[in-house]
Amino acid sequence: MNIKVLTKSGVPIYEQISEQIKNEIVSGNLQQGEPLPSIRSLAADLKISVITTKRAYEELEREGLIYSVAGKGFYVDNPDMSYLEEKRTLGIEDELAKWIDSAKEAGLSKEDAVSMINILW
Amino acid sequence: MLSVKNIFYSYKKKGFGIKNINIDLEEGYFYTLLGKNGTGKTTLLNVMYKMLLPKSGEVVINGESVGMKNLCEYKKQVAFVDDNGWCSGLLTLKENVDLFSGLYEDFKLDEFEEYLNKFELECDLNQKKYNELSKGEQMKFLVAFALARNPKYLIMDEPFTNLDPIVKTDLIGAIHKKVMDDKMGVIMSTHLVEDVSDITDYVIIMEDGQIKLFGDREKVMSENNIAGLRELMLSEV
Repeated sequence: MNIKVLTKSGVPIYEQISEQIKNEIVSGNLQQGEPLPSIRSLAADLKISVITTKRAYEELEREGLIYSVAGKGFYVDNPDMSYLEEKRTLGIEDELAKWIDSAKEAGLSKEDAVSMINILW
Repeated sequence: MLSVKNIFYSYKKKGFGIKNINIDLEEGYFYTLLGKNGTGKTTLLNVMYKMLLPKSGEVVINGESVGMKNLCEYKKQVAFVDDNGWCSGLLTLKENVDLFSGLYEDFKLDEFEEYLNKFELECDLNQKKYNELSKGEQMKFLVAFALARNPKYLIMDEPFTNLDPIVKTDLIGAIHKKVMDDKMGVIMSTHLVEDVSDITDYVIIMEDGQIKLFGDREKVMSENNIAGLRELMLSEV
């Protein structure tokens, strides 16, 4: 698992971690039942505090993406994939809406925008 | 758990001190003690390390009050680092290590040497005297020695204020690793808001000899708080 955190990004570090792990789970890179690194080893790797790391895991646990076994650690749960994917698509929709707004501001036509997507796709 | 309870200390001549101080340090966590110069951080840490006897209140380790009969035992479990250092400037580094490491059963010479390598303190321990090291080199030496003692707790009083950022990052990294791997508990004082780094679990803010705020870093250092915090740190008494 390759997690990166940016200190000055404005997004809380725990959120950066939980987001990245969530993506690993949704994309299937992390499978159900797979163990996650222990809180202390992940904190050591990322050079962040125990509390921050714990909060990231608790966040994921609350969302039902991982579960903890007392004395052992955290494991990937069997998440509701369709729900997660829907949430993911919604996120893209939001971003696209913002993008369309700025395209309009820049005076692009719909055709211009579509051909731009076609080129970049 | 290392606690200070209801600490009161005052300097007769100077007319100030610290009061109503209660702190619990848990093993395995990093605490940053933040406050302006002259708010009592050093006094508090000296009381915690039993270098100053408080007028009232006590230091408690694992439920036991620290007094004369368990003071030696206490000092074995707790290390202290500030930029004065405990070394004799007239002895060679090797002589200092030989003399003082004997006090600490858990001191590991190989670990000490590993830390010196990691911190890139390259000098002949047999030749060099402590006084001949630069401030930065002295701090590398002191931190390496403190970590190699394998203490349960490490108390640090403004250890890195005068160091360049690269050395600071190296030393903090090694300390953090000890907190993660061996569950060492750390309290470090600073007067710089920037020094409250990502590895900090809890922040303790001192003002006028008292604890003004205690909480986990993300809450204390949140966007809402940080402006007020900077103001507090900058405002003059």
